[in-house]
Amino acid sequence: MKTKFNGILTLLLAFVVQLTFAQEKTISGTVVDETNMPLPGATVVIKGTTTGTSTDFDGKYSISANTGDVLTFSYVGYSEQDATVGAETTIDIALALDNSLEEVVITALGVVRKQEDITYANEVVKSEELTKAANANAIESLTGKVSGLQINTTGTGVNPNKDIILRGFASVTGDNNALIVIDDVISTSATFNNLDPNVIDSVNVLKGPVGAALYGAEAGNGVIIVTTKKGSKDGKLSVDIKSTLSYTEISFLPQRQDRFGQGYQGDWDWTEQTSWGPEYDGSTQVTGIPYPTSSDWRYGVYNHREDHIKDFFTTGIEDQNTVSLSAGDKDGYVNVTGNRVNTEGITPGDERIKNFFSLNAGKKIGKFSVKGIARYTTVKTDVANGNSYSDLSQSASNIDINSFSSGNNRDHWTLYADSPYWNLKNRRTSGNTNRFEGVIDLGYEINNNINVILRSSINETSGSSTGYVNEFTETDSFIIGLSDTNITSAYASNSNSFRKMYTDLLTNFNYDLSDNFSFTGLLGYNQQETRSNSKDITGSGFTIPGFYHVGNLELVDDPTEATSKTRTQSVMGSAEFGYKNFATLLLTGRNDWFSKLSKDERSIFYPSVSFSFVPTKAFPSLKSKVLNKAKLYGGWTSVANTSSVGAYSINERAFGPTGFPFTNGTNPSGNSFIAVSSLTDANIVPEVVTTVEFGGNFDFWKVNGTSRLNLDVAYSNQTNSDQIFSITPSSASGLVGATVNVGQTTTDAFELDLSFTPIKTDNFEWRGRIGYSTYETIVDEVTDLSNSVTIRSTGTAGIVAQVGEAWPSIQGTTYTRDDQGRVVLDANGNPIVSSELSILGKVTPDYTINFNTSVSYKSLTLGATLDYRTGHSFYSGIANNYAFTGSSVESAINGREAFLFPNSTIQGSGTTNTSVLTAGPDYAAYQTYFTSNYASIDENFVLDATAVKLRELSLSYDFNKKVLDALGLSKLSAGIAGRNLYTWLPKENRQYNDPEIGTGLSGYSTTPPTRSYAFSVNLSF
Amino acid sequence: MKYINKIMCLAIVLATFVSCDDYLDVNKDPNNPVLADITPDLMLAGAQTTTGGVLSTRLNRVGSTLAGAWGGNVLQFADPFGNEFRFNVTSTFYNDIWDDLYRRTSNYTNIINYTGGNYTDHQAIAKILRAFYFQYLVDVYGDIPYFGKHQYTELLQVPYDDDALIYADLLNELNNAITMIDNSAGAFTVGNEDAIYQGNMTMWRKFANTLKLRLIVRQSNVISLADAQAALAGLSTTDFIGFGDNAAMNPGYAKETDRQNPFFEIFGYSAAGATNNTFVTGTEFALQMVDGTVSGTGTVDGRRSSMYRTNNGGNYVGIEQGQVLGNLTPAEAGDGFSFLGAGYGVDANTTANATKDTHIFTEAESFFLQAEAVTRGYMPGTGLTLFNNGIQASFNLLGATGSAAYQADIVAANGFGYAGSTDQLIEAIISQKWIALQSINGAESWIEMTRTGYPDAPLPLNQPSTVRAVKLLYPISEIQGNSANVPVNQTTADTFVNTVFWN
Repeated sequence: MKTKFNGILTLLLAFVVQLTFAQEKTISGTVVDETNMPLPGATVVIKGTTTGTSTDFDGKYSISANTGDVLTFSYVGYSEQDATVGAETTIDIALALDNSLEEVVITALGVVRKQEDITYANEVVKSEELTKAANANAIESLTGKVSGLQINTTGTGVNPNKDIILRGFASVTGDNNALIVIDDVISTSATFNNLDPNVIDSVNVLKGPVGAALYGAEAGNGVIIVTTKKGSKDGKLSVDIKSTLSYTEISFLPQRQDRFGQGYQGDWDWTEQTSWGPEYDGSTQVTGIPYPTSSDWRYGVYNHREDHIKDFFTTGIEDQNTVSLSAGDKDGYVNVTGNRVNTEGITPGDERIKNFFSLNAGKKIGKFSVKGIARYTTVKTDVANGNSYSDLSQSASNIDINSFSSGNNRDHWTLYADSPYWNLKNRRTSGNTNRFEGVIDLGYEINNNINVILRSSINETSGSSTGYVNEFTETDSFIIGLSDTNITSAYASNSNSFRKMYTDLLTNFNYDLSDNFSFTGLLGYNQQETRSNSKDITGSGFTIPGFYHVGNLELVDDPTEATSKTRTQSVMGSAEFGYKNFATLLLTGRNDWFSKLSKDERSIFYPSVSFSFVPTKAFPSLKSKVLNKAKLYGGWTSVANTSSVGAYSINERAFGPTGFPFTNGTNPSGNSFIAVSSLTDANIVPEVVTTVEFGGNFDFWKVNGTSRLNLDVAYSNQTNSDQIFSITPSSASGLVGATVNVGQTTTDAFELDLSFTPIKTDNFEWRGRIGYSTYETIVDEVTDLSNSVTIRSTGTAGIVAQVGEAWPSIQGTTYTRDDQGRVVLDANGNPIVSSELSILGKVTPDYTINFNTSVSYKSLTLGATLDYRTGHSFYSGIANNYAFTGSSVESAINGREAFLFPNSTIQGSGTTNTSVLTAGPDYAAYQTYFTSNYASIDENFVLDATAVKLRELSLSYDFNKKVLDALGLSKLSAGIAGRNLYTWLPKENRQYNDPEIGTGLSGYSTTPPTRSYAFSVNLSF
Repeated sequence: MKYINKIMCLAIVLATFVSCDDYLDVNKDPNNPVLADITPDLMLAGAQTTTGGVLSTRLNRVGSTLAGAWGGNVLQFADPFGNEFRFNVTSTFYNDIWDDLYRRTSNYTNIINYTGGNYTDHQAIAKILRAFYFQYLVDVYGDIPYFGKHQYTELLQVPYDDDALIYADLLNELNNAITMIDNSAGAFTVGNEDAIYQGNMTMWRKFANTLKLRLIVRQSNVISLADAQAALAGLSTTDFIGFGDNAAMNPGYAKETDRQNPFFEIFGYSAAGATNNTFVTGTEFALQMVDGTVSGTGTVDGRRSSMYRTNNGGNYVGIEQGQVLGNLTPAEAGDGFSFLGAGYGVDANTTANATKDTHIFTEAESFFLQAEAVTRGYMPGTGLTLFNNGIQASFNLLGATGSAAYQADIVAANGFGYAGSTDQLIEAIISQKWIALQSINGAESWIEMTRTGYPDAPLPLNQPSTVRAVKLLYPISEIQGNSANVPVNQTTADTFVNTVFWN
């Protein structure tokens, strides 16, 4: 018994030993892709060694391995798979597409996350989408592409300013612009404005504070994260050249009445800029000032000329060229880009030249990684000062603008303004800005789980501008007797500098806590400093004409200077727990210390908690042919909007009262300083922004790796409290004004995006995206003592924050109405202007729909961006001006005769008015009615701001492989595009304004609204 | 290996981490002077001119009109002083007096609270002047915020305090100031930054004592004889402002924009070239006070030609308050009325006028206060001498001659000269003070008329009230900014009821 047992044991042992010291054997098999086709060139490697091979043309491989070895199969674009060598000698593998590679996004502080792990609302815009219409401006390229994002232009011309607003204007007195992050460092809107869109790889828009919570006090308005291109990964040097030529012209001009021309009170008047003249009759009339001498009368045909001011403007031309060299492999990259944009505006002589250079390089050496970015931008502008558009509009439509174009201020159609042609030469400002940005990013992998990053950047901008007005002396004694037209020469120069330094020190942790739980964490420290300085010198009276220099001025005003410096220090941390691969819980916290707050209030903590859950992965049964993926997410955060507190605001300042220093007399008191009477509360804190957000992403009908329908929904509710307002305290405090934390608004926002790809074949693809967004901010509280605060105004019309109303709201004067809704007139038939101001409309739309689509057939791609917004109003300063000058259609509708005001009542009568006429009995009375009564009632000029805009239309052609090979290129495409091609406005807005220019109160900007046509060629090799 | 890596990381962190407070301590405004850096000697002049301006223009204007001394030139202006003559007193009527006095006196508080050096003399001056202006606030408004005042953003809604308690504290403050002056060895010397006395602390002692005297005499209707005597014990005429001690402020006025005497700027000729001296005329009553009508002697007061200018007809004629153009006779309308004269420096656009002093506390008033105190038995002295000194001081100030003749002329007029019953003596003193102070410190004329009822000026025409306005209402800034503390909802009717404790 014993020996038999021993024998069997020995045999077993021998067997085991045999197995352990088994000979190497040959493993072979076939590797196929997700469509079961053989995958040539796939890599097969024995894990932990350098032994490997590749699959052949039929997807077959053959490798020597031992039992127990792990073979790793991989191919670019597919997920790696492992297989352990067992008893068999054949191992066949089917590799699956690695979807996660497509859906990696850069989030706050440069942390890279998979899109499906993101726990807040975001939208990514890729490079092709940004550049398809060849817009030279990066901010403008975003317009209409992201739901909930609104780009407001405040000013036109060659160098416009833009506001970037996400989910509306939640803060009443603070800045609502989103935070701009470029290549993981906090940057400025001005830098983004000058960035060449061709260097942008992607833009990740974090729509609300939940995603931006790691930025703490700057997160209140959402974040735009811009990532620039690095380099290719295939080891070769590639060169990319893009050249675009654009033409810009006026898009539309306000409608004008075509019945009455230059004159006053019904008579021809060659001095006037108003259109209160007699009816057009084709007669020949004196038009404009006699020139060159006071007996050289000019004559013109007294008839309407359609869009007569168009003749002043010219076609704008913009020439953009970008050259880019890039190279890279899996360890490093380098990208050098040069870009020049030369813009001539539609105002003759307006010019802007921008040069942009950037160098972006990085290398990974073992455990170290080094990345660096250097950018240098220069912008030079030379523009006419004065308001050409506004001046031109002060002319009756019978004026032939061209005949007054000599540029002499006396060669003009009116006595009461300066010639815009004279302004072109004699009121000008030239400026230049230089900006250098540098970023250094050093990383070190301590081990597989921990890495450290030190990222430091500097943004140094300096600028200067010089403006002048030349002298004009009236010599014509005839004119001198009529009006004082002399202009004193003047000079204004400014020099400014700005520097921002930013440093992040981050430690990233990445652990698998268990098979099911993963942990990603971050601990970091951040330090920022912003400095700025501005100096102004103004003066008047050039002794030597044309020599624009301080030394040449007869009178120099006291120069002024302002400097500012703020610093912040912060520590932050985040902890993200993942459960299996379908649930994520993210906790973040950041504590900021601000130099601009008092010591007691300096430290503020910003937490956030958010989650995401993918039910289709948690419950695979939910996954079907229809619903491919669903993700739900939600979060809460409390951050701040720190723009509302300025540097130095909490200082108790002193000032020199008027009259000091006294130096006369026998006992002069010299200089003295007393306390200012308006202070900011020393314990002021930034506005607090608390947000709750929920949303979901759903992918439907996945065919051949692409979801044919995606639905993204997000809802957020946000409270901006401790807003900063000025209140009137008791004067006994020593102050007549105090700025304190007191107001509150609540914002509800909802976005819905539907992306669809109905057709996708080898030759034809049609993709589109419809975005719907709506947001509304309601004022909960203004100050303890008042229900409404006017924030800014032009005359009686203004933007007001009123408790219970939407913010911003427009307020102004109205007709007085009785309780039956009839307009109350005085005994003379004139409407009575209300003594109080009323809310006349709201500035933000009820909803905005944006539509983006692209259709490609073989080598042709057609793209379009369209948006529609409605439910809001704006006050048109142009409409008001047209009413005052008699150019508006309303001023001529009834032939300028007295009329019966509809649905009116005479004050005190109690009955509907049927007999007393308004604006009678003659033309002069009509003019008086229109200019002083009608024009003073703001409700007449608050118009529907609805607009449908075809923002971009682009057609591009990619040359085929035969042509490319013949030319030695890797890519060649040509395209044409149109921007702002069409704007449909409601009838009420007689094309007075583009409601997007200006925020609520829209007046004359530098030029009328414009559209552009661009032709571009792009080649790479 | 692993440990070295960890230490390296820590080292990087520490190397870049700078002490929080030092790094963040960069918030001092480089573009404006900061209050904490302003020493009392730099603040005093501005404090004096900004508060003095309110006294010589706004308080002066409301007092001179409501006390019956100023009329409006209806020949050139529509409804001049309409609100004043109709007693249309509301929360926006001269509300700037409250706002400006409270905020500009905060500079005195800043000086008083300054701890960065020995500025005892400056602080004494600040205490005295702060008490000076707060007396006016109490006299004109009644209960006001006081003990919680001037704390800037630390206390934005200041509670109200009882006016009697405030008066008591003002007296305390003055006594403190005098003690400070007496013990200020080693303090920084006060120089020309003191636009009133150029640092002459002996003068400031006199000013403080005279202000104490004014505080006591103001309480004549409610104070007991014993208390009054106790408060003024040991003081004699040399302790008060006397001849040559005029508290006249002049920081260095010049005929330049923003540097002219403020009264001249508004009621004479502005630096921008506007002629402003045809708006104010003397009232009929005021002219009668100086042409012998009210005195009964028929002799013209020598000051008349300094106080007023002749009208177109070469005569001195005053207009009744509230008179309308339509009710004037053609002769009256043709000849016009008498505007303020050279004595107030508004007759001509000269440098001499533009650089005249602003009078804060006149010798005349000091003498009349002393005269009244003596007459009431508050302190020893000779009433008639003090009375005549007051008249002389007034003549001096107005640059008029004939003081002795005038004094002799009125010496027997009961209630006008220093003769008659005690009441008539008081009437005489107050009436002379009214003549002396109108157009210079009109607020005094008005407050004293409220206190005593003298002189018996007629009410304005064409208005319904049978009594005078005796105080201002709490301003709109209090109603909007401090509503929880304002003690009572006032209406125009309240302006006729004097609620101040000394009434």
